[in-house]
Amino acid sequence: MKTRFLLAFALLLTACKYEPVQQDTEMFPDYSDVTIPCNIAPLNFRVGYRKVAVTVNGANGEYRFKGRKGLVSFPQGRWHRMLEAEKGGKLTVMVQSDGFEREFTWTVASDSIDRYISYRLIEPAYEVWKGIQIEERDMQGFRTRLLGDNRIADDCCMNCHTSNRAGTSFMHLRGSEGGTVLSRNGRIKKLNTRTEFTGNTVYGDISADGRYGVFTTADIAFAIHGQRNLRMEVYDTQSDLVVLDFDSLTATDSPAVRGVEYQETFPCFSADGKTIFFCRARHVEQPDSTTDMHYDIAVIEFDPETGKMGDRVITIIQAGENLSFSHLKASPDGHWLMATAQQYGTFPVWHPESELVLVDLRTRKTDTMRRVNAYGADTYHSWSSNSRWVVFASKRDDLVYGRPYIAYIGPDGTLGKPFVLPQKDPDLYRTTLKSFNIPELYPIPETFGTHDVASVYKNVDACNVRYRQ
Amino acid sequence: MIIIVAVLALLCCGVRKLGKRLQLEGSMSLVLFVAFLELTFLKFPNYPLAQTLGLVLVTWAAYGLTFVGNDRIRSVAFAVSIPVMYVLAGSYTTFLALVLCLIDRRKPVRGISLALAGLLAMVILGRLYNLTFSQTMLYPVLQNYIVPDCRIILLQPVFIIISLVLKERIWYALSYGIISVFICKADDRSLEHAVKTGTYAYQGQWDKIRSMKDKEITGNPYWLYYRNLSYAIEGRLPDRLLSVEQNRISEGLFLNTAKNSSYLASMYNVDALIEAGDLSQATDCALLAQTVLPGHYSSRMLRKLAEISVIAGDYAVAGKYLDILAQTWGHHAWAENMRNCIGRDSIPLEYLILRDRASDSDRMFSQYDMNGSLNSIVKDNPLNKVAVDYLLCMCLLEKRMNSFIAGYDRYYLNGLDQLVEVPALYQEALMAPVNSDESFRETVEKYHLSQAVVEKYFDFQKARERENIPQEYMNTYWFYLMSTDFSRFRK
Repeated sequence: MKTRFLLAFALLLTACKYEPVQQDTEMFPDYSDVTIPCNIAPLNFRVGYRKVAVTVNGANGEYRFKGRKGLVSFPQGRWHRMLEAEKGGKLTVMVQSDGFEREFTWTVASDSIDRYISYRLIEPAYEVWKGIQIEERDMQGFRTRLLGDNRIADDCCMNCHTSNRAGTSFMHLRGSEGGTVLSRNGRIKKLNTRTEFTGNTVYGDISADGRYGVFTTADIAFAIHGQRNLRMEVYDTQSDLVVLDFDSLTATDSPAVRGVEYQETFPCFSADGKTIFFCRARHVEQPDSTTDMHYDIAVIEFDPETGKMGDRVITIIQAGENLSFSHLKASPDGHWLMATAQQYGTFPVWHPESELVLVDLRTRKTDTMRRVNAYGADTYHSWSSNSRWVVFASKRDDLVYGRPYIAYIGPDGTLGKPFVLPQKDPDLYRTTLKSFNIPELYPIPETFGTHDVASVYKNVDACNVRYRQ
Repeated sequence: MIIIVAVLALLCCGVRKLGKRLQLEGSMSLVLFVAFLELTFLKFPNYPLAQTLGLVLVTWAAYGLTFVGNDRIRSVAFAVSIPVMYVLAGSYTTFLALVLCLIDRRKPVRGISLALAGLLAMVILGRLYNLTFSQTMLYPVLQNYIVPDCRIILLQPVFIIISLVLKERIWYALSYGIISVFICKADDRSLEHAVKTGTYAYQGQWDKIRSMKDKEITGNPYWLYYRNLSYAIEGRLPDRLLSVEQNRISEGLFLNTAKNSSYLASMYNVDALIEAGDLSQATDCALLAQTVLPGHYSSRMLRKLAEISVIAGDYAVAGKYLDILAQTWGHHAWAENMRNCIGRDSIPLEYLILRDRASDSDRMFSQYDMNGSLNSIVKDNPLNKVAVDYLLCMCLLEKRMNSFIAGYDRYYLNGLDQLVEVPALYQEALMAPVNSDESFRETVEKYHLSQAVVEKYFDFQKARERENIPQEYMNTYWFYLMSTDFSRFRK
């Protein structure tokens, strides 16, 4: 009797799982011929559903690995020993499976990538926020930690997490108890960044010393596209710039980046902190004329001593027709400025044509990064602190769900073929219904966790930021 | 149903054996009580079967625990089983703690201490999973979804322990009484009818929707929407629009998916949007439904997303959803077939027809602005009769006569009226704004209105003057225009 019940129960349990279908024998993800950091987590991949043998040949030895049921899962210890031994060299990788054989190379850069990455996990229905998570991942392995989870914070929207300059980072929480959560030197507080003269802060960047933040104060709206292959368009009805001093909790702006004639957005500090790059377009009524919004790249001076912006805006790259810039990020070595370019507007996530461009700040030459870009929205990039690596969100695989891709950028601007952030089980990318949004690289881990953020959201009153003339 | 019966049988058997092992009187009543309560919970669409399976697992684990005679070994076994059980069975692990108290009832301090330690371990585990205390004690039931309040599942262990400890039949009676009241109060027939309507629509059984009984329609906000959609698909929306009460105005044509609306609205609204050719909003709606659904997953919505992508010609997007669907029981064959269709470039005809209805040029409009959306679609494809009818019917229901006449002039006059017979509703509406003999003659000539409609119009005017309008005129647009009382409309 007991046996029969146990058997029935076991049958019930096994009935819940369906075996994966036999799919093609393409390597997924495609890690062929990529340049990888010497401290990256194992590039696990799948080739069909049979036994796989992987032989890696380098200058300092041969390394053999095996995969079961098509999944090649490299042991972390052996993987890192291999990368350490072959640092700066080229590896030849032979993958053999039943009816499949492929040879390619891995170039192991001696430049490491920042150890931590954060990204937001969000379902791509951006008008309702359920189950948004901001996760921190150790790039050397697969361990993750939640920095924010809106399921324990009244389902409030959690916006971009910008990390982590000299111990300073921030994330915006919306909702009734919302505010900007500022983490400085191991302590977090909630800020009300709206002042009597400036609006709530949105997209922003932190200065290299962690003292200042520059933000856009945008009123964001969205519209639906009529064309069958397009979805939504997010736009700003108005936007200005504001600088926050995190020491004195004051906000300043400048007449040059305030007012309704122009819209300013996506500001970032230069490496030396003396210039603010931002995107600027002449205001037109939206959504009727959103396709006429073409954002240039402009600069304004910034004095780190006084915390004040200059009073003159200089356009350094004009967008022109069919081009609009967004998401500016200056490399920490001061050599490069990376931007996203799309046909129009300010929200490239829903523009499949959007691509990354690299501006050499010394020569003002732009590189369209053909080796890195692909059709399907390449956006939201972030530099590694040594300026050799960049991570960005790309929808190139299915045009809907973003995934973090990593690309190498040499000192002379040489670009490596990008590769997707490795996962313990690469099938995650095929099955997840979440977008990896706003990836950010940083060298030291955050000091707070999701319960700290939830506690700040619910129990802590926001500190009001004061406007400073 | 077979699975539910099998799971409940396993549960009953486990509880019966456990009762005997614990030498409890009236264990049969306990069995019935547990099964009855669990069956009640399973009535709710949001109560996962996994929760009942969890209770089965915990019951049998507790039964196993009773065979451990040595107190120390039992304590160790309990300590080990708490985290394992919590991962496998969720909040019903509390039941295991209660059973331990019963086993050790001769040494209550030890039993209760261990049980409390077990509960504490659950809370710590929940913390590791980033759950709040209430989420920990309810896992895997999702808050805010079970009707009426997910905390009712805590009744199960509470009543069981009361019944077991006090051994008084009066407690069984009281428990049964409370549960019965709860069933009567919580029984949400309108939700069941809403789900039934949606299921018929999903299966394409439009006749069953149209023939649903009055009691299934009452309080069911989705019936009117699907009933109208069924006629829109056949091209008969204007013919049948006013033959039933349309008191929810545009809610009968498109559902309100704004914040705080039911997730069923988001799920169901996708169907009309696809038929009308608004693939952008259909995608948005399906993703929205997926986001707000319990568990953030619906294979039905995944299938809709795959269909929308195939219709739009976005095969890379479709591939993502088909890969996932191919791993499910219910949609495996369909997904494989669709993948083959894409591979052979032989897309089913019905999808190509829907693709033709969608817009190729780009105009932007605000979300939920169905007027803007439909205008955008029909400007591109004036022969998209479903969208044109939705647009004109929306104007009529909202009594926007100028918009209706402008729309009619643009899309029907010398357009669709060359292909199909002009619906009586539109002819009636075209006559409605005339206020002089001259304009009447012009209207009749310009729109080639039928003699029957003209005569009916005069009869209606006479009846209106007599203030005695017969039943046969109550589904005319003239009556709709003058009436604000919709109660006389009946199916």
